[in-house]
Amino acid sequence: MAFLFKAKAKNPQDLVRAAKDCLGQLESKPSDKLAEEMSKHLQAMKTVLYGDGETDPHPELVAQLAQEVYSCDFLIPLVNNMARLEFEAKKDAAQIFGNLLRRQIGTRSPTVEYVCTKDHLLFTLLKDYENPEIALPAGQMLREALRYEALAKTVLHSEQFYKFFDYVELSTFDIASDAFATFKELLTRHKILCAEFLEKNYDRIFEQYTKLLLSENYVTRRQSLKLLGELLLDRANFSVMTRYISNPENLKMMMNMLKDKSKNIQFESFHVFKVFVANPNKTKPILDILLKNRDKLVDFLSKFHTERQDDEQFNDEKVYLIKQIKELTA
Amino acid sequence: MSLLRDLLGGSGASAPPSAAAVSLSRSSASFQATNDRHDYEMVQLIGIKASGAHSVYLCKFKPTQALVAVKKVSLEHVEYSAWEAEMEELRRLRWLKHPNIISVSHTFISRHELYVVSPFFSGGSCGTLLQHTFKSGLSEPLIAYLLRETLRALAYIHSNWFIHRDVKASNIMFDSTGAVALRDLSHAVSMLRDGKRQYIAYQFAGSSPESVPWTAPEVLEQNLLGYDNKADIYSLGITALELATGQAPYYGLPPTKILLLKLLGPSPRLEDMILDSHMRFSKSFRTFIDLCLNPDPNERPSALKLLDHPFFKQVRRRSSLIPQLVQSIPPLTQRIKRDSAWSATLAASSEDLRIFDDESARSSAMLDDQDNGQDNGQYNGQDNGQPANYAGDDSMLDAADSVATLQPTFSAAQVHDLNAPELKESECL
Repeated sequence: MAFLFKAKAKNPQDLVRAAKDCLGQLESKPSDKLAEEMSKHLQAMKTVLYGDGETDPHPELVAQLAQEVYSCDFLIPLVNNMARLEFEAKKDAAQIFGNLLRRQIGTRSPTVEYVCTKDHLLFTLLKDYENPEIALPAGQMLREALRYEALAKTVLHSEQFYKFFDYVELSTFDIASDAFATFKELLTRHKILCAEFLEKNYDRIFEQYTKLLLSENYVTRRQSLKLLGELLLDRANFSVMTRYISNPENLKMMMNMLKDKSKNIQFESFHVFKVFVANPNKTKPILDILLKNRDKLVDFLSKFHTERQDDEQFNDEKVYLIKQIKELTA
Repeated sequence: MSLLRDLLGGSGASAPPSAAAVSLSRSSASFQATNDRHDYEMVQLIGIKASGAHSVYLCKFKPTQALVAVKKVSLEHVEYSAWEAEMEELRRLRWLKHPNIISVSHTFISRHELYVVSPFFSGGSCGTLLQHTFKSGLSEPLIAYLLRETLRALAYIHSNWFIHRDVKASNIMFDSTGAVALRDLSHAVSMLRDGKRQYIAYQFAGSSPESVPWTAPEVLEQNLLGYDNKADIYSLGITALELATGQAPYYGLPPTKILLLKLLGPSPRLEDMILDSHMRFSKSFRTFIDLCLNPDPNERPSALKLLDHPFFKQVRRRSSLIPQLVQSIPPLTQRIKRDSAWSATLAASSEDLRIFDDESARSSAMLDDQDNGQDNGQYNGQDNGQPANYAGDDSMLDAADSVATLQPTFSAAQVHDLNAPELKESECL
């Protein structure tokens, strides 16, 4: 392993310090030469953390490197200067970040604790969705961080969270879909945290969410509709679901989507629509709409996606809904 | 690693192109990619995937007249899981940037279609070349050049802790400038798990049965020993035999028989496939193949090591072999083979053609010009010598299916009294 540190850094501490100095210079006076040098530092750090392909990483060296990363606040300039790094170095930075985050001492996650105290790191990464050159590595780093509840909580309860509603509609497809993956992770990974968050910010979130559902962009509509179905059917979100299905506007929107020209949108909206009908405690406005359209709905549903004969669950649900609607009374 | 990068032509050192102005490395003209599908004028359909949901077009980017390959994925016709797989491949393509790997210049959504713009490789794939032009194989200097470029791609992929898992001649593309690039990362797997680097992979490769001749025995075996990036080296060895003889060993045999032969039998050798092989091919080529096809993965050299193999000494720095080759064969757009399955798939997708570019689709020449250029086997139905249960026939079924499922969409829409303009749009689905 010693040969790795022969040239510039003798040990992990020196390596981190040299890398930090280099970042400082790169920030004030960017040049190709400095970027190249930075790439080498990051590669050497990555090798300490992941091993060199033949030998496993040495726990003591990893500990020394991590300690130095915290004490000299290396992650801050690293994240701030992502755009100045070379292509391969951006990926190395993402992998170094991911590895450090997972570091555990007993039950403690020292890197997670560290990032908690420097939460602007997360917001810098989030804002990187606006820069196509670093959106993907930064998105990966952000998702790694959001695996930890404390960090996810910071982002969820921030004003910046609402930027996701714009990012998921970015014109470059792969960046938009990466943003959507992060958005979904935030709303689904930590069930209790997410449920509390959705409940507390219900109005604001669903006002924005409705815009996604009605977007011009097919991808946005289909993705957000599918996610809505998943959110409402998750037991942890019971009270959010109850609130959602008591609003007649939501029911009308789903009924329109059942008739959407896209079969997939129709199908996804069915999985939200069914919750309205299956609800044993329907509010009056909901009941009124269903009653008013009873015959039409029965007729519509009996012809709805009849080609899906193999999907047993879907057909059972459809039969159940038709029965429910037929038996509706005022 | 830095050594590797130097070796690979300093890919790391080159400044990444900004997404706003994506330059196409393969074409002389760089261009400002746009999100407007009308900026891409369709020249010809060059590939269709079995289900008909994917199609690849040769297009002219109107603002600069540059030729590009545009893959169109009709998202309405794919399940959500397939859609996620598509995004995953795009992410890998963005992550793995190397001169010998097909890059993605731009991606955008228009209506319910995903468009992926890539450089156009005018030579098509080596698979097509063998299938239509050089049925009994290529010359050794040409093979050496193609394999070296492919190995560079593999060395880079492996240094990024990925395994490609689908190396074969039909995934090696070339163009008139001599550029060679590996494509199709849809079966690639990352060796990074939970923030740790893994050395062994266990995931089933999930590749199509057509790829079995190229797949390493340890991958097919699916046992607890798993496999590693040496699986790609084995596939490269089979590809070497394929390029030399015109056909992969085991070709046309049922997958189970291939599995048995690979596990029990000796590895295929050049001299067994071509009797006068010692006349046509050097000893170093034969030893190269033997190294790649060693049944013990640990005995196969790494991609990086193989690049130093004496077999590659014959590769000249500025080789004009590929440009000459491209000149000597008919243009990709003319290397056509009529085939009923292909026509059927094409007819099924003609609806979509109109959306893509109204004018070019209207010309009947469009529909008559068939080519499986970029894609054989995988994209179209006309695989010769394949047993009936292979993708060949499936594509016909799928195409028929997709037509069948389209019908109820429209009738349902009519029944439910959608207004006229909407109905018109729904025809585009």
